[in-house]
This record gives sequence, structure tokens and C-alpha cells, in this order.
Amino acid sequence: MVETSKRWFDALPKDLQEIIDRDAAAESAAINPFAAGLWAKARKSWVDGGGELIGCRRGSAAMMTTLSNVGEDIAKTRPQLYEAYKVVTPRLSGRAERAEIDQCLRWRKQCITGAGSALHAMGSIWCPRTWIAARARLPSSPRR
Amino acid sequence: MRVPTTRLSWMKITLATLGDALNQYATNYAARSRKISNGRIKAEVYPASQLGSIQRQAEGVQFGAIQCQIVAPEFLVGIDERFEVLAASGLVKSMAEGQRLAADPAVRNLMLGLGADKGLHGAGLFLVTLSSVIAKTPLRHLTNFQDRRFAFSPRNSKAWR
Repeated sequence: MVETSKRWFDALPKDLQEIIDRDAAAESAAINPFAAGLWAKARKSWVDGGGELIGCRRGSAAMMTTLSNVGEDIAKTRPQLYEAYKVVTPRLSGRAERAEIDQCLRWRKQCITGAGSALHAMGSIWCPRTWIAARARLPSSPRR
Repeated sequence: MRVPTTRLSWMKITLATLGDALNQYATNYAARSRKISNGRIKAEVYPASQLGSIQRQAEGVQFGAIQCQIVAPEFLVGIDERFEVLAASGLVKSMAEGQRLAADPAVRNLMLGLGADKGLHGAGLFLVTLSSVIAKTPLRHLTNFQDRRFAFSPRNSKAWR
């Protein structure tokens, strides 16, 4: 994250304050492809060097369950931290549905019926072809 | 009413790393600030902890000796324990999800406002990378973690230790 000195920031003219904040926000979005590329490159280098990548999904179910609960279990022991945790985690709720909608929107171009584009955007999978494909590829997603 | 001034504002941007996304961000941010402000902001980047350790950098920013620090928030846990909330284990499952979370207005408001009463003004939030456990032998199951010693960063992060 980008932290500036509040003392310095408050002494800046208003227009420069806006530039500092606006540029930081703009660059925060612009850096994403670079960061993702670097992450992919690092993983590739690890494998090329003889390393192995073991994702949680490939691990045991118990490991996955335990690791995914660690954050909340520990945050609960620290009230201030838990308050922040409760702000952050709801932003992730429904991520399965969001991923499904994103996938659906990507497949929209392949849709032979051409029907239901607006409904896709609304998150409803009414196009039969996309619906079948979505069910096949995302078996764990909740049935509507 | 504030009177417009042509006085130059120096902005020292400090960070601990070199050649990664943080460094790239700092370089881009400095260039953009210089350009947009027509040179009124004179930004200089000091990577690789040239201005001291991460904690000393944070203190410098709090007191105004350093104008800007680009840092993983969990390193600021000594200022406010909530800074480490985004380092929670299992919080996001992919880079894309983490990037969406960092861009979420509610999360941004929370994180950028944390140091307001401690001399900090949050300006930007972005995802650099996901956490990894690196080991010499494969860790495939929970039992593989048993009786092993792990070094982790940041050292003073209490909640996730």
C-alpha cells in the first residue's frame, strides 16, 4: 500500500493533494497486469528450476478446511482486528457466483442462440448452451 | 482560502525492495506525479531500504522526514494491528480475486484510513503477490507441517504467527 506523511500531505495545496491521491489510485489499477505477470514468471522460474507447485486445492480436504479457517479463528481473538476482518470478508461473499457470471460473460460470444445477453449481464444463466457448459465446468457452484 | 503556490514539493518515495511490483509502482507513480503536476512535485524513488529499515521508514513518514512509503500493510502492524487483515490466511484464492478486493471501495476506505491518527495518509492499495510457503521438501498434508520451523515475514506480525 502507499502511505504518505499526513503532516506533509496536509501542508500541500489542494490541487497537489488531489494529484497525489488520484495518481496513487490510478497507478494501483495500472500495476495489476505487471504484478500478475511477475507472479506467473516467478512460478514458472520455480518450476523451471526443478521446484514443484502444490496448491491448496491439490492438498488434502482437511488441509484446505483448516487453512481457510485460520484467518477467522485468529482474528476472533483480537477484537480490533476482527472488526476489520468483518469489513473485508463480506466483500468476498458470493465470489463463486461472481466467477460464474464472469465466465458466462466470457462465453457470451460463443453463444449460438444469441439469446439472453442482457440476462447474462444480470447474472442469470438462461441461455441453454451456456447453462449446460457452466454446469459442466463449475460443478461446485450453487444451483439457482 | 488557500493561495495557489508554485513552490516545489519534494516527495521522497521509500520502499524496501528492488526489481519487483512495488519498485515498478514507485517508479511509475513518481513519473506520473511529476508529469501531472507539471514538475511541482519532485518525486525521487529510494528502493532497497536506502532510507533505513521498514520500521525506520514508517517512522520517517509519520514524522514527515520521508514523504511517502510503499509497503506491504502487515509491516505496519506496530502502528495498528488492523493493517495485517489483508494478510489473513486463505482470504483470497487467486491474483484476480485479490486485485478485485484491493479495488473494493469499502476495503480501500478501511485500509487507507487506518493510520490517519498516527501521522499517515493512505493514498493507494494494490495487490503485489499471494502468500506462499516455500519448503525444501513437499508439504502435501497438514501433518507435513508438524515439527518444522518456518521463517516468516513480517517478523512482528502477531495475529498470523
